[in-house]
Amino acid sequence: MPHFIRGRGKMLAIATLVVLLSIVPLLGNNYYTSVLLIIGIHAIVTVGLCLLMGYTGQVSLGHAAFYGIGAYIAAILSKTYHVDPWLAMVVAIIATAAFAFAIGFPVFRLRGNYLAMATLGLGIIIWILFRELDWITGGQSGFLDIPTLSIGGFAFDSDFRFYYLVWGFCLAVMFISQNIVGSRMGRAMRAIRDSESASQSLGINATLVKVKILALSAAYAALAGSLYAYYVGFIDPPPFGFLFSIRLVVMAVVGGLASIWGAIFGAASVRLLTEFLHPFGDIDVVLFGLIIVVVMILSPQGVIRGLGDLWRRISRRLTPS
Amino acid sequence: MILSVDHVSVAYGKLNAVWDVSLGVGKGEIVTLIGANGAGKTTLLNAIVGLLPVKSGAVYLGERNITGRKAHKLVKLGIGYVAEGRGMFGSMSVLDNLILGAYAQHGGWTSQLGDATWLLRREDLKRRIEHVYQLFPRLTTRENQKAGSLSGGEQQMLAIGRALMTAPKLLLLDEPSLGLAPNLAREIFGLLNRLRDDGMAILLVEQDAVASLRIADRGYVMEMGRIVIEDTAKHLINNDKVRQAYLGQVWGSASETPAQEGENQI
Ligand SMILES: Nc1ncnc2c1ncn2[C@@H]1O[C@H](COP(=O)(O)OP(=O)(O)OP(=O)(O)O)[C@@H](O)[C@H]1O
Ligand SMILES: [Mg+2]
Repeated sequence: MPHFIRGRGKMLAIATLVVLLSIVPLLGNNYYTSVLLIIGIHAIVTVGLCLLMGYTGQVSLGHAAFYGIGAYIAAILSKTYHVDPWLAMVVAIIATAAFAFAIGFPVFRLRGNYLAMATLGLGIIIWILFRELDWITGGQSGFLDIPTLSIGGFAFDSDFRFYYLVWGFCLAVMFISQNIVGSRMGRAMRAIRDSESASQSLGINATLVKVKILALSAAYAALAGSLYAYYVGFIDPPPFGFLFSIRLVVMAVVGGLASIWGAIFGAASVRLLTEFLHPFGDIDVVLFGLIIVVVMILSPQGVIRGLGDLWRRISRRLTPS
Repeated sequence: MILSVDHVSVAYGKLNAVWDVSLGVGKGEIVTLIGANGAGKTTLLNAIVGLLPVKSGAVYLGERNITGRKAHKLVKLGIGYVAEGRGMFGSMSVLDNLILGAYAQHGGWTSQLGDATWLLRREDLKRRIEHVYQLFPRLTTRENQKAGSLSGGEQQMLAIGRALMTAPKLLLLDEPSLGLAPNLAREIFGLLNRLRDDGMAILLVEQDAVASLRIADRGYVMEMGRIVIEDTAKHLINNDKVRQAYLGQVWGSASETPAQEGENQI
């Protein structure tokens, strides 16, 4: 049976979130709108990473590559080959998922640190391909003039319009993920994370489940990547490199690895921090390393859960017994 | 024979841990496998259930050759496994652990769609869970507690209950009494007795050789990866060599053996 959302409190929180999200662009501040739009795109990738890392227990340090593959396929198909952008996006998602599915079988022969190294390596290789296959990708000088999405005569050509498109997708992804987590598949994922051998002796095809979740998370990343390409209209390799893979892990950790809606919080925190620290260059990366360590020690379930627990402890102290 | 192991060898890389082992377990029979630490008992069980590859030889379930089949495919054929170290899904509730026990039977994507048989299957699931709760009433009150926060003995009950959820005709248990208080261990041996009487085939690996030989019909003694003695349990209890090697040191001391937490094999 579907488990979309459990608990009234959570439902209320989500309703509030949706209302707030729909109001922001109406304020008319383009900067806020565009920052929040990017947060929505990142949150889509982060949820996939949470499904893979948090729920299934499999590390990926190369997720930016899927994001990039999605972006480049959508961009190249729609610009170079004049494919309808929607169709290009669908193809990008399916192709990226299929690619992840194919590499999943060899990759998941590895575990723990080896898996982390392999995904890291794959991410770097793919990033180098973005740079070096310049006759297709535009290489370091980038890929220009990517068309945008439109329905009939209505083009998503302003931040305002694209914002609602992105968040529509993001919320859909959240609900789908929430449903998966509460399903039989979700139970199998957590079983694999807790004890892979026990899950196998209960009939769970652990490798297949892991590969499917990798493919799903790659599909999310490709969706986000193509949205990014259509939104910005220009892509080049840097946003799809190792650094972004690490940022994605930080987003997942901050939001709570085994938390679906936390991904939005994680994506927002990291993005806002990056915005604030922008004048100082790449020092945010140093800070991110620190954040991961601190969060994992103080509140491995994510910052929101941690704050919730803290609040409960404080209010218990304060109420006279 | 429900289980026949035919000249099986198992290796970790180049290192052989099990050499040319043959054994069998019949319907309604408890067979015990005893041996010192590192003898290769766990390795053999893992190979039987498909978690480790068999290097040579063959494993049969009934007439069917199951050598080299993956673990997740064997559940449906009727093999239940209580692994060393219990293999708890520690972050999940007792109930979720039990539901996962029925994963293989309650399968398919259709279970997401609320099709007509879904209700029926849910009834069946409920019945099985009730059955486990009857066997281990203590689990009932812990239903919503995280499995990781159960006591060692409760975890062992849950591990056994979860394996029974698969409705196995062959049950393999790796040191089910490890770390249990004597009365609880007795309870578990009593349960195995009843399962045997219902026709289950049971392969029991135990450190507590006395207790296991008492309830077993037959036994095998394993040393350095080989079966060195094979006999009825009665004979084994009175076998001088067995008494010296296994019964002397552990006589009635099941609860005193230091509880070694078997690690989850990842
Ligand atoms: N993963 C592994 N890699 C390499 N060697 C292993 C591995 N697991 C076990 N061994 C070796 O295989 C041999 C048999 O180990 P096994 O765990 O089967 O013994 P056991 O009879 O179950 O012992 P115990 O009573 O202590 O549980 C030991 O020498 C052990 O060192
Ligand atoms: Mg062992």
